[in-house]
Formats: sequence, C-alpha cells, structure tokens
Amino acid sequence: MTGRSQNAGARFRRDVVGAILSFAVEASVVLALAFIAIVIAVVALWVA
Amino acid sequence: MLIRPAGSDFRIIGFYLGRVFLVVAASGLLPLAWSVAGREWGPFSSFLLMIGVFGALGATMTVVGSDDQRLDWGHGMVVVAVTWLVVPLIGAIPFMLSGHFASPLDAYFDAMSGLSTTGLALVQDLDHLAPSLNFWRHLLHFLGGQGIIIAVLVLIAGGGAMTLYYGEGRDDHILPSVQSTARYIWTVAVAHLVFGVLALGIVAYFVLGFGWTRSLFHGLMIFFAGFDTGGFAPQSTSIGYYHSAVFEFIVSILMVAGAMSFAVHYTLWGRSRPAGRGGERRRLLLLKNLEARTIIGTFLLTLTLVLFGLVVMNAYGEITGLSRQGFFQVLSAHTGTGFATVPPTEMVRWSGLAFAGMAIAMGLGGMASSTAGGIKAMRVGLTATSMRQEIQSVLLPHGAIVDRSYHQFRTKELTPALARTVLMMSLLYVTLYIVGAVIGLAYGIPLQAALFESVSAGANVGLSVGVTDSSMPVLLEITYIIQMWLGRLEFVAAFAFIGFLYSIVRGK
Repeated sequence: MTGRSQNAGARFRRDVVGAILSFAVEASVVLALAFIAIVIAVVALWVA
Repeated sequence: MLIRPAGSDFRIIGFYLGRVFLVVAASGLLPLAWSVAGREWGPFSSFLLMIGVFGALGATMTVVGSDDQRLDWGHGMVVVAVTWLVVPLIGAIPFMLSGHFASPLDAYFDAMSGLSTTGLALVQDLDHLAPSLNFWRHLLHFLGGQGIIIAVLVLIAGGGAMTLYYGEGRDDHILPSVQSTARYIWTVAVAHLVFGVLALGIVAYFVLGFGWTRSLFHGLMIFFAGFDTGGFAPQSTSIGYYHSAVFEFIVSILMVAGAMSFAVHYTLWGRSRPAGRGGERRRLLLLKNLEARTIIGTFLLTLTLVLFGLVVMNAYGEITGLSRQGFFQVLSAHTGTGFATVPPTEMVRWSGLAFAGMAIAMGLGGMASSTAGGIKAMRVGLTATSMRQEIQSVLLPHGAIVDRSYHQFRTKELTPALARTVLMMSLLYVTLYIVGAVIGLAYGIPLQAALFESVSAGANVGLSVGVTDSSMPVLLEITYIIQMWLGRLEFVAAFAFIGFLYSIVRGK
C-alpha cells in the first residue's frame, strides 16, 4: 500500500467518524430544542 | 462615468455561462433516466428537449465565448445573476409541457422556487404528478441549495472561481482554495444524503408501511427539500401527509443540518486542528460562536411567541399537539425550509402573536453560507452586538474603551465599516419584505397574509397562508419571483447585473 492510499484511507475513516459525530450533534440539538418547546408549552398553558 | 462593456466582457461572461449550462444539461440526465425507468414517455420527451436546449446553448456560448482574460468581480456577479434567471427558465420546460401548470409563468415560478430553495408552489394536482417530474422539482432544490456554481467549481473550475463562489451569497472560505471548499461542501451533502435517505426510508418502510421503492422515493425527495432548506414535498399536504413524529424528527435533523453554515459542519466533523490554549478543541468553541448563540436565542424567542400565540387562540388544548406543531413549524420557518404539518387554511387562522412569531422566524433565517435564506443569524448577532457596544459607549465615562470584539471561530473586531455593511444588508431584506407586502396589499390581500407571504418569498422559506395560488395576480407572481431571486443572491450579484445592464445602455 502506498503512502498516498494510506493517507486517503485514514482521511476517509476520520471523515466517517466526523460525519457520525456531526449527525449525533444535530440530533442532540433537535432533541434539546424539542424539550425546551415542551417546557415552554407547559408554561404557556399554565399561564393561560 | 460608467464604462460600456467591451466585446471581451461579453465573451468571458458567455464562456462561463456556457459552462454552467453544460453542467445543468448533464444534471438533467438524472430525471431523464428516471423517466425511462418509470416508462414516463411524456416527461421523457420534455426532459430531452430541456437537455437539448441547455446543451446547445452551453456549447454555443462556450465556443463563441472565451476565457483568455481573467474573470473579474463584475463578470462573476453577472454570470451568477444570469444563471439564476435563465436556469429556471429552461428548467421549467418539463413543467410547462406537463399539463400541471395553468401558465408558463406558473411553471417558471415553480422552477425559480425550486432553484432558490424557496418551496412556494403553483403546481396543480401535485399528488398525481409523474415521479420523474417530482424528482426534477426536488433536484432543483439540490442544485440550487448546493449551488450550481459550486458544481461548476468542482467539475470544471476556472481562474475566476472566487468571484463565482461569493456571487452565490457564500462567504465561508474554510479551506485554502475555493475548489477544495466546494468539494468539501459536496462531501457534507453526500454524507447527509446517505444518512437522510436511509433514515427516512427506514421510517417510511417500517413505521408508515410504505413499499421499499416508495420509501426510498419519499426519503430522497424529502432529503433534497429538507437538507437544502427548500420545502417542496412529493405530496400536496407536505410533511403532514406522513402523520409521524419519528419522521418529523428526522426531517428536523435535516433542516437543522441545512441551516448550519459549512464552517460549523467543518468544525463538527473535526477537520480543524486543536485551537491551542489548554488543548481546547474547536468543537467546544462553537458554544462561544456569536452566530450559533444568536440563532438559538432567536429560535427560542420566536418559538415562545408562536406557542403563546397558539395558546391565546386555543388552537391546541394539550401539550403534545401544541409543542409538536409549534416546534416543527417554527423550526421549518427559522431554517428557511417551509415544510408544513399545518395546512395553509389552518395557519391563516393563527392569532396575531403566532403569526408574528412565524414571520420573524422566517425573516431572520438560518446561518450565513448555509442553504437557508433570510437576513441570517450572523447579521442579526452583529447588529445586536453593535447596538450593545453603542449603548456601552454612551453609558461609560468619557474616554473609556469599549470592547469591540466578538467571537466567530476566533476573536474578531466589529469595525464600524462591518457594522455599516451588516445594517445595510439587513435593511435591504426588510425593504424587500415590505415592498412585497405592499404590492400584496394593493391587491386587497389582508395585511397579515400579505406580509407573511412576502417574507416567505423574500427569505426563501416557502410557507404559505394561501396567497400563492394559480389564480394570484400576475404582477404579484412576478414580484414573488423577483423576491426569491434577490433573496437567494443576497442582492449583490443582482445589483451588479442591473448595473451591468445600465452600463450597456448609458455607458461610454
């Protein structure tokens, strides 16, 4: 295996891990915001 | 004094336009193949015609044009502006011939809406549209969202790459060259495509009970429209068609991903080196990022307005329905996507407070250099920072030094020139929204609806309260087309193009 293909392989693996981490962060953001939405909804209904 | 463009100016503009048209012609092969696979011979012939027109125009302009001089700033802006006017025109040919549009203008409206990732639609009987035509509608979102110019940069980059890149309203320069940045943007898109289509397809198959091909078709269409913050959907009832909280959750992830700047994606992927001090990594520094803080702040503010507005009008009596509908609609509005789980006939009855929350969310938009439209969180954050600094300078003792820094991946200085530019761009967007609303008012449309639809068009969102309809006045339809075009190009390329036209007439 040449040095160039080794580099490409390592880069691909790093990108796959990065992409998975990125999806996880995006999903966490949505979950956190949805949770806050529920809290605001509870407060809004309570105030009303 | 204005200088009239020389023949060489036209030749270089023509050369690059020709390249763009050739790339779009190549992308037209995808729906063509789809129509063959589905034995849809009517759409097949219309796609063939469209590819022929793009190909002939592209080849002619490339041959007649010339790239023997460097593409300068003005040339690049004109190329971008004309691209975004002409591609929807030729790209609308299959729509015009489909019989699903009341007029050629309606077909152009939908093509512009698709390319500008707006999502307002005038298509009739969408639920019976041929799948290949539906694919083309959504592929326009992908081409527009990822940037036609970006595609050209990846495939056939020339010397003037930078100016084309900026012309499409992007200012991220996250890698050493524009070409490598463009390739990275497409890498992120392809990774999300795999994730999005698989996730949506699996939910459609296992939860909604669709067949495999139908699951993947819907997954692909919703991915294109969600990640590129477009808003088209294969069914007329948009995301409400699926009646699934899990489906809405995955769509929400795609909308958030689409509204994030590619610099944020780059940081999340961990490609950046450690920032230095104390080994603190750049991912954690995102928490200090002015743009990220601003968009979370404005999202929570508009969400609160909408939820309280819905409670005031007693739209939903229980927590689940209230939070689910309110959250999804505000997220869809703020990311500039335009997916709906609430039909226009119901949304038009929302109270003033909920309406205001939605309009503000749409008008503010997503992050800079994302596929979202609107004023953008970066400008909102800088405007707020500038105002805070001005108030500090008034309140502090004479001669005190006001901290003029802000954090955006690194500490930067908010100079007066930057503050002026930011305010000017924000003012241009507000003016765009108001002009569209005033024209709507002139046709007797109520203020709330006129403003809502105008902001939706100008900020490239696509939510509608029913004003956008095939029976709408022609002038209003043209106004929305211009708003979509100006909003997507963030004015600069459009103004450069208008200046270019003026210089042809009045230049010396």
